Amino acid sequence: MTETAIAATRLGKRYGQKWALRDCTLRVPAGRVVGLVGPNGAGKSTLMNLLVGLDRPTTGELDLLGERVGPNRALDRVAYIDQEHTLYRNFRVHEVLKAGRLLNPRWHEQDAVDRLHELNIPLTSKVGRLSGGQRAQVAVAAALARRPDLLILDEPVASLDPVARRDLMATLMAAKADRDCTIVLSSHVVSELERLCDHLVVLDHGEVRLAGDIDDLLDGHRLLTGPAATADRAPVGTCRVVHQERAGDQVSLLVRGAPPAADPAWHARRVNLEELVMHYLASAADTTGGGKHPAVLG
Amino acid sequence: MFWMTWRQHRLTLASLAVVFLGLAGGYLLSGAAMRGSLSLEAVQKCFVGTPLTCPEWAGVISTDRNLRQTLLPVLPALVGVFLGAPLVSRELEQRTFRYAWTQAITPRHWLTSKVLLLGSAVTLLGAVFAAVYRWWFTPATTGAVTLYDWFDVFDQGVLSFPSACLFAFALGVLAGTLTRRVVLGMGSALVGFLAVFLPLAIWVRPNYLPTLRVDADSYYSQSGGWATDFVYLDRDGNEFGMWEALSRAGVTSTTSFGSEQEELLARAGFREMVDYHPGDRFWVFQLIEAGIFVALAAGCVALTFWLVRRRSV
Repeated sequence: MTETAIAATRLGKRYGQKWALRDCTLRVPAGRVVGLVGPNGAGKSTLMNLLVGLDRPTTGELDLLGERVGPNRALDRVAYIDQEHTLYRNFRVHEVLKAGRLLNPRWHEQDAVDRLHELNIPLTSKVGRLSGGQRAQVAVAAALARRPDLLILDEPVASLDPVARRDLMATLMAAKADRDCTIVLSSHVVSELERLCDHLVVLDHGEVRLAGDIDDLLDGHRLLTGPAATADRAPVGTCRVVHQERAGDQVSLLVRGAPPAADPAWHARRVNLEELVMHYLASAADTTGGGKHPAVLG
Repeated sequence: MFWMTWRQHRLTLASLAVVFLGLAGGYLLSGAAMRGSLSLEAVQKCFVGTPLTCPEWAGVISTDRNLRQTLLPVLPALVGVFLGAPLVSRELEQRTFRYAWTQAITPRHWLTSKVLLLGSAVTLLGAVFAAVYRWWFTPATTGAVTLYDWFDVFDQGVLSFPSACLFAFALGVLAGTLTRRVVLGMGSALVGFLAVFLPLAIWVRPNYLPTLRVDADSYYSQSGGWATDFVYLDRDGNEFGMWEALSRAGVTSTTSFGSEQEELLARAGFREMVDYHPGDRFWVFQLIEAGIFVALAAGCVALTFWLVRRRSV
């Protein structure tokens, strides 16, 4: 397997005057499970469309699994499932499998048949008659039967009820355990991704705000809390202050790096994934003039 | 892709086959029945005479006249509306292109297969219908005396009709790709086909080759061909239309034009001339028209490929 699953260089997509994705430079090592997070409209779907060739970039270059992505280039090692788990609704499940077999040179029908059998989804059912969760499972089974090296899922659980969400996440985790592939899944809910992902990409307003292995990111950030009055004299050392947030007369600073020895007035602690993402998104909102996040000190 | 194409379009294809082959079947049966009950010579006379010449087939002959003057020429539009227009637009509207175009085949491969397979199917259906129609109409043009020329059923020609079907299909595919909506695409495919077909048949077709001009008597004494215009020449050789000539001949009030008026014109020194295409130009005209349709179809397909490649769809 190649070392780098996704290599994007200054990738950009403009619709009319508006950049849906700008200057996106990413390097995702193979074998990771990547959580792509950001608020609605952050550019997650745009990035995924570029990854799977449903859209062409306005600028920049993209390599997947060591191959340059371009027009009329079939991505036989990349599988994609969109938000609605789209399949032909008038097909029966066995016809979905037949279509998969005919459209993909890499196809392992028995994988899909076994998986669907385990889930008690009859092959004779019409796709349109299945529940949302079942349809999602059929789409995933059809994608996994291609034994992709890169599996891309756009908000895979957004349209599902809690039970179906849990089942689908379990399916993906089992698939990852079975086979060493790279998985990219997007969500605007960080907690959905926490258990599954080991790599994070935060997108906002079409730009990458943060990217890296989750363990490194959590190790590399601290949240400093102290009196708001002395916020500008906080013991940050050479660390970069990503974002500061004021609550009453206290202020919290998210810093990147390891802050120097503690000042008794300040308390440093590790952050969790959700806090990390929220601070980065809030900081992005400051620079882009968004006013959704309260109490931001300049 | 063969199975995919069949699986996704089998209903539409079957319905179109019912229409095209149904019509062909009707002509085949009635043609066979006519030839079975009458001699060839008698069948030929049926097309020339009044309904009383062969009363038992008068209904069939008038049904054909009605069909070929109304429905048959625009039959190809059905192909564009029901098969061509939804081809891309349904995938876009139901968002299934996100499935179809992310499998291990490229969108270009997907589109090429569908256009080739379905395009061949509709061309074949058109060809079968046109061939049967030609067989059915043959007695009308081959009698010792005949009123008809192949030019009279030009739209159903074995070259032009299948090409028109192919063009309607390609135009429908393009219309659906441009509008991205099934119903809008279907409407555009219909309007678009008529907007190309009618002006082509009415105004362009007579000009594929320059017409020949003969005087009316020699035109009527020979048989066949396609008269596109009738003009009157005065003694100095100036051209006039019928009513203009009548007015110059001093006729002030008449609403009809018959032998009396013709005689008046002749006495005033007008000569009736006919601009026409001789019957032996039929195949050249068929080739030209088929060429136009095939070229237009190719243009539509090329534009569709460009749109899909640009992903502006």
